[in-house]
Order: sequence, then structure tokens, then C-alpha cells
Amino acid sequence: MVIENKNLLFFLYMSALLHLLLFIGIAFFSKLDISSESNILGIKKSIKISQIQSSVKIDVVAMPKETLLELKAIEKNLKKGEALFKEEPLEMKKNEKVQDTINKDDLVFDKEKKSNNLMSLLKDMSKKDIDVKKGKKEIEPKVKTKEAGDVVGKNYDGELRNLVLRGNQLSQGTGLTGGGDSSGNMTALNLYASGLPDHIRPYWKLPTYLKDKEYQCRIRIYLRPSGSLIKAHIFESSGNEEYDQKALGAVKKAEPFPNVPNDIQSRVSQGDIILGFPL
Amino acid sequence: MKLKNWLFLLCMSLQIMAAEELTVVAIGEAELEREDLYFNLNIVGGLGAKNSQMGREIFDLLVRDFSFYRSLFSVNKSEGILINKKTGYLVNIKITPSKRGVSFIDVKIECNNNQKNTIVFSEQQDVSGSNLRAFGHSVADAIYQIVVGKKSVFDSFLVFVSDIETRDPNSPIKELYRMDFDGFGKKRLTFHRGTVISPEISKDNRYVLYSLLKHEVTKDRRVNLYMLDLLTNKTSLISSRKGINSGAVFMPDGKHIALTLSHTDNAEIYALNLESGNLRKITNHFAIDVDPSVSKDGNLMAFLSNRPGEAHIYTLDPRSVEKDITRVSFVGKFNATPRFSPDGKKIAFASWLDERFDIFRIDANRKNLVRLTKDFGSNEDPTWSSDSQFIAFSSQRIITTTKAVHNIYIMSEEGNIIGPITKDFGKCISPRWSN
Repeated sequence: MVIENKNLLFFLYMSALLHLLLFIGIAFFSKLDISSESNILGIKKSIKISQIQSSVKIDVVAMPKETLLELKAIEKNLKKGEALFKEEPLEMKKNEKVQDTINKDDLVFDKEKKSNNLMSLLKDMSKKDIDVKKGKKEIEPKVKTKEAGDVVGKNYDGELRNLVLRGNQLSQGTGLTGGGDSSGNMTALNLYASGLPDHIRPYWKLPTYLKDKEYQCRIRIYLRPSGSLIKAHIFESSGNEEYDQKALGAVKKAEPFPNVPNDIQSRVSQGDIILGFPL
Repeated sequence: MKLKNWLFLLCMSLQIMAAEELTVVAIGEAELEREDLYFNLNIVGGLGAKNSQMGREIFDLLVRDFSFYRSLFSVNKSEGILINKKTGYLVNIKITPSKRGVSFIDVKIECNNNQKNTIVFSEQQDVSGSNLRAFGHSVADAIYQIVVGKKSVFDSFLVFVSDIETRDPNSPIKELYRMDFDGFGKKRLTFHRGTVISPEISKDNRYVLYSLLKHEVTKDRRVNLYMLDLLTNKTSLISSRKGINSGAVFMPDGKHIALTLSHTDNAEIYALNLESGNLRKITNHFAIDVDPSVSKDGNLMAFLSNRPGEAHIYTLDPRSVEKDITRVSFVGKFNATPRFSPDGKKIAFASWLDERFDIFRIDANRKNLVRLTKDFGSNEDPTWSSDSQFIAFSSQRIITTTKAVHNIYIMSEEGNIIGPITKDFGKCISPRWSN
């Protein structure tokens, strides 16, 4: 196809040239570690930054039963990935012979991996009610159901207790703990980014002489889809090199990060996430 | 026309550039990296057993002092061996005979930054039994300041009330005492043979305010307010109005105190000018307002009020009357003794829960209510250390149905119990930490 319109051709050339210049300019300035305010081609431009912090909305309805240390211990266990409650094994009599065939009225307990959220908990509870109703016909199964229900009931107590300890995150609440967004509207990027603090915090440590100084630095991270670090650099320095290096060190130690969801891979690899130490 | 086109292209390009959007996620506060501290004692030969013991006492004092800050330091101790470490600090204590006589020892203490291999502190002094503890605490504080960059609690003290002098259980004698922060050096301060309540130390640590309930039966059972000068040991009567004159605390200017008075029948909190004796109302409500605690800058006062029907904690601006009044606590059957941390950020208080008192903490902005004590007897009367790192409190442990012990304990501000600092000293209550 031949473009005859000279004006259009001219604009295309100009546009291509301008974009090339822009590309070179951006590449050049990105090498220079532009901070939150860029100055490209003599034009000062603010990068749009949105800040997310984790928060929990809670209603304080009674004095806390658990101490701060107990809550921290629970939090630590949760971070380690321990289940919210341990599935207590149903004890079987040693000499009990297990039948290979399943009779018509036998109750079958399916071995299934339970996910630890309230929805599955509620599903399980409603399922339990149905099972009990089914078992009413026979005395033996009813007893078995009761026994099983007792054990499960204890576990539910444990899970519900833990849920309460973590704050009733499912209710709207009136008091906001943490500085995060209370609206609940999270983009995919924000959702991914909001999981990073828990991942990095175990490595984020400071000696006493730095901890009380109220420094703040920000680090820009570029991640591969697998969550490995392409690079990380100081986006905003605290002014104290040791503090900056401690923060950078924490990021490097925390690698690899969780897998990046497909729809945000390009943004995450381009460094759209900035980590604030502490904000 | 050309210029228009150029401008259009420029705008488009800028628009593309402006589309860059970054997301900042807050990692939050860092955890504390514990510093390794190595203490090494080196007693040179030629010292008698008594003097060797004095040297060991200084060594133990330094180790014990730093062990209070267990969240900041990992304390290691050794004797007479050469320590070669690459991290943390090494504190070497060398004890040699003194030229001043047998009642003295020559103590040389050096602190080495192991990473930089430089001596950051050095002190050499003749020490006797009379100045041993003061010397040890002052050295510990100097080293702490070098490592941490701020003052420690090592040279602070507490006042408290004990009934150890009681001979007749029907007529208890509760007097005021003083002790070092680690529980050593107890000394009786008052001799009223009555019941001392609600002591409070001035910001310069020179004066102690306290109320006294005398045992003589008077018509109105007055609780009078006194002030003790710790320098001269002189006591002066500050307020003896009808009813209650108690719960007094110093205002930051040192010239005023806030106290609870009930001379107008209803308990209200007043500001009293110590020089002129002028009174000014701070609270003015038909409910009972007691137990004031003023923040370091004097802009905020926490107090207890039964305005909502139960005892709850409120804050207000004490520079005026009922100004900026804010309810802080909303739960708890009975809350008591709200105490501002010296940095003004937090309030510790006792609350009745599960048939006993426990210590709780809440931010001054009403956020982050946390429980600090549990399953540890009944815990009351919290008082903050000057660096806001510790809380001392009185704890009652039931031994038998007829016997209970009441001692003063120290915990970290997060609720880590460090331990008791009184033992076998009667019923010890109402601790107040110096500034």
C-alpha cells in the first residue's frame, strides 16, 4: 500500500521519530533511577502512586481474652502455614475388622482436604446437620455420627476461636485496625501486592539504633511470572544508607515471591510495585 | 497548522507517559534485630574474698541490667577468658586491688564494638560498697546509650507502698518506700503510721505527692494530700479540703498539679497551682471523675469517669474545662488507673475481667486495645518506665484460702513478664516509676 497523502506520511514519520526519542529518553532516565517525580524532556511529571496497606475492620465488643503475646504466637503459627486447626484422627479399635464392602445403611466418612475458610466451614456444618438427619433411622449410625460430631465440634470451636482472634473479617465492623483501604475494592495488582508484606516481614529487621529513627525508604521491584526477582532498586532513599541496604536486603532474602497472576505479569515485570519500608 | 500538529503529538505522547501508575505497598514496622552483648569478668589475683565478691557484684549488676531489655539484647557472660567475636559488643570488666585501701577495688570497664574493633567506652574508678551499685548502673546506662542511642532505665527508681511495718492487722500501716528499678536499695520514706495512697513522682524526680488516710477517726474521714522533698526529706501539706484530696499528678510545667477533690460533694479533677494555691476546674460533670494522668506535653489528660454508667477512660485537654473530651474505652466491667506512657502514645490501665484485674493497653487515639497480663493473679496499678519500654505493676497471687502475696513486677510493654522486684517485703502496692 502506498501512502500518497504527504501530510499523513509526515505525521507518521514525526510520530515514529518522537516515540523513538521518547523510548530513548525513558530508557536513559530509568537508568538514572528516577524517583517518584520524573523529569523527562524538561517536563516535570508526577507518577501516579496508589498506596495500599493491610487492614482489618473489627468491632470491639468485649475486652480481649488473649494477651498480645498469645495473639502474636497465633499470628506466627498462621504465617508458618499451620492449619487453623488440627484434624484430630478418629480413633479406631485395634481389633476392629474393617469391612471391604459398604452396606446400604452404613455412614461413609469421605476423606477430604478441608479448606480453612468460613464458607467451607459453614458448608461442612450444614452438611453435618443433613448427615445427622439421615442417621436417625438406625441407632448405631446415630451414635457414630454423634461421636464424629463431637470431635468435629471441638475442631470447629478451635477454628471459630481462631477466626475471632484474627478479627471478624467477614463483618463490616466499625473500627479500622491498620491503615488500609476499607472499601474492599482491590484490583488484581493491589490484591497481589497486598500479600507481599507478610512474605517480606520475617526478613525485615533493624538494629535498635535504626529502629527508632523514623526513617522511610521505598524499593521498586521487578518480578518474573514465577515470582523471582528481576531487579530491585531504591526508589526513595531514607537518607541513611544502612537503613536502605537493610530494606533492600530484606527484599532479596524474601525472594522468590508468590507466582504472579497472568493478567498482571507485564505490570509486575515492569516494576509497578513499590515496597514501602515501613510506609 | 504545523505548530498545532506538533502540540497534538506532544500531548498524546505526554498522555501515554502519564499513564504510568505505581502501587506502593506498606511493609510495616521492622522487627528488632537483637544485639549480641558479651560480658567478661577478669579478677586479677591478690584480691581478698570480700573484694572479689564486690567485683563479681558489679559484673552481675551489669548483666542483670541489660537482661531487662531482653527484646533488644542477647546477653552472654563469661569469666577470665578471651572472647573473640565479630559481631555485637564485648564488655570487659577488670578488677584489681585499689591503691586507696582494702575497702576499695579498682574497676576498669571497657566496651568494644566487635564489628569495628574499636573501644567505644572506657571507665576506671575506685569503687567501695557504698557507691558500687550507683557506679554499676551509671556505667550500664552509658554503654546502653552508646549502643541504643537513648537513655535507659538503669538509674531510675520506683516509689511504692508497703505494709511491712504493720504490727496489728486491725490497724495496718502502709508507708511509702523507694527502691532502685531492679528492686535493690529499699528505703522507707514516710513515717505517718497511717495509710499512704496514690504516690506520684515529679518530672525532676525530686518531689513525691501522696495522699494520706490517717487512722484517727475524724468526722469527715479526710484524705489529705502531702508532698515529700526527696532531697531534704521534708513533708508539706498541699491540700486538706473536705472529702477526698487524692490522685494527684504533676503537670509538665512543674508548677501545677492535677488532683481529685470532692469538697463540693461531687468528685471532680482540678488543677492546683502549687505556689499560689489557686484552683481551676478541669472536669465539670455531674458524674464522678477521678484518677488523672497527664501526657508529657501536657496537652492530654486521661482520667476515669462513670459518665456512661460504668467506670470508663476518657481524655481531654487539661488546659481548659471539659475541652475536647473523648471517651477512650468502651468495653470492660470496671476500668481503673489509666496511665499515659511517657511518650504520650499509649495508655495502660487495669480492667476487671474473669473475677480479677488485668493490665490492658490502648493507643491514645483509641486504637489497638490489647491485653498484657493473664493467668498471673490479679494485676493492678500500671506505671510506665521513662523510656516507655516497661510497665511495673502490683500483682496479687493467691497462695492459700487465707494467704496471698502482693508484689511489684516488671513486664515489657508487650507483656513479657521480666519478674518481681519485691519479695518478702509485706504487701507491696501502688508502684510509681521515676522520670
